[in-house]
Amino acid sequence: MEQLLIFFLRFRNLLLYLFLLTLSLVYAFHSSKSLSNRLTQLSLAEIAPIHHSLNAIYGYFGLKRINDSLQSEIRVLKQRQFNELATRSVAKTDLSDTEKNRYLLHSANIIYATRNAEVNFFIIDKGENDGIKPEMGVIHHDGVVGIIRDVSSNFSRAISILHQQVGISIRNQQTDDVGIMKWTRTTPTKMEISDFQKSKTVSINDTIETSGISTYFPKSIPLGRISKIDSVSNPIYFQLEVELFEDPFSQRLIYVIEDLQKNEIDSLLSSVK
Amino acid sequence: MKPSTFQLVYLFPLIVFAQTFIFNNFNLLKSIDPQIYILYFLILPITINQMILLLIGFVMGASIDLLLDMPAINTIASITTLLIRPVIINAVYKKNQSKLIAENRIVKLHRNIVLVVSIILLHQLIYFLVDVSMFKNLIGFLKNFILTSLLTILVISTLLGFKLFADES
Repeated sequence: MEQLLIFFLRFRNLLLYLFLLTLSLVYAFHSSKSLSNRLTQLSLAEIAPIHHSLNAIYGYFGLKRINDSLQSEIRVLKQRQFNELATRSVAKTDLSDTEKNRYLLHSANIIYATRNAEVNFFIIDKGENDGIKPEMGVIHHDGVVGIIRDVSSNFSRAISILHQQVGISIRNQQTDDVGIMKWTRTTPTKMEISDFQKSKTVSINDTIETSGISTYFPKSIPLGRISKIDSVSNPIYFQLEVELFEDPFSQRLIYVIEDLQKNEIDSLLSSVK
Repeated sequence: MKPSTFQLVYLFPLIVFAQTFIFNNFNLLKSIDPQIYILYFLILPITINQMILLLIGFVMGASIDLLLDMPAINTIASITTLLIRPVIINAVYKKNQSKLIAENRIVKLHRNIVLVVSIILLHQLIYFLVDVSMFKNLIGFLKNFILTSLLTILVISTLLGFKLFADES
């Protein structure tokens, strides 16, 4: 107690000063909106950049999670879009549930891909356990990637559209002409169409989309634009060059399309053979 | 000039009103006003109790803040200056102690100038450091600090003629 008293007596000036300072600061903050505003603004200006950079670091480590959630979101939306397109011209009440939801999408990632060889293929990280079966189409957010060929329990191998023997059934969006699109074996974004007859009208920048005739891909997936028309080299057909909207392997995230009515169609086809 | 207690008492409201109603309307370059109330801290006797000193500074600063509707900037600057005032006075006197015997007018004048200038500069420095709006631009801070200090030194030295309490010691 005596010690405390001595302490107080010794530092009485400083203590008085601190007391008065506190009093003035309290007065300043309570009386003046502008000072406290300025202080909060100042602290905002100083602290916000720190939070911003910290947030950038956290965000970087959280990107995987965000990618996954976005992928599943896109999967749902694309699935809905394909089903809407498939049943666009039919009254909805006439359809059964399987007809309404004909397409089912599985999201997956490309883990290995070749693109320089004459025959290109890629491997994805989903397999039989995730419902992947052979002969399913593979798309990415802005076009077609390939078709599943072999399936193991956890992985699948697919031939890509950058393959000599793969032809995709396409349609000219402007004129509704149907044809087959193949890879030109030059750059990954250049494809060719060589079965449009010269009686049909074709012009540069016509949009090419999937026709929906095959069971691999639903209709109306935009693929690319006609970039070159060669009407000289072949007497009957145009030689058309198509520039794809996007390199098929620029994206890691892909979607595998399951056609729920495929079995039915396939059984019909096999009975014909 | 050694002010008596009576003089100090009636000088107090006089200086407060002079500061708030006359000198704060100086508005040189739109915002530069001399802060002549520091004069009062200079003429207070050396031997005064420091607690009373702090309280005087608090009342002085608070009354000016209330009259000018300012957020306690004057109060904080005043009490901080008065807390450090004895240190400055000690330093100035100790430095000249050897000359005390043969002290002449020049030495006294020199000492007083150092005291006046250092206390005004200290006050102004704290004043503009506490004023948060000055943090935004360094140029504005330096301009206000230097010009206000110069103007204050000019006005106070004109009023006082560098005749302080120190003359009588």
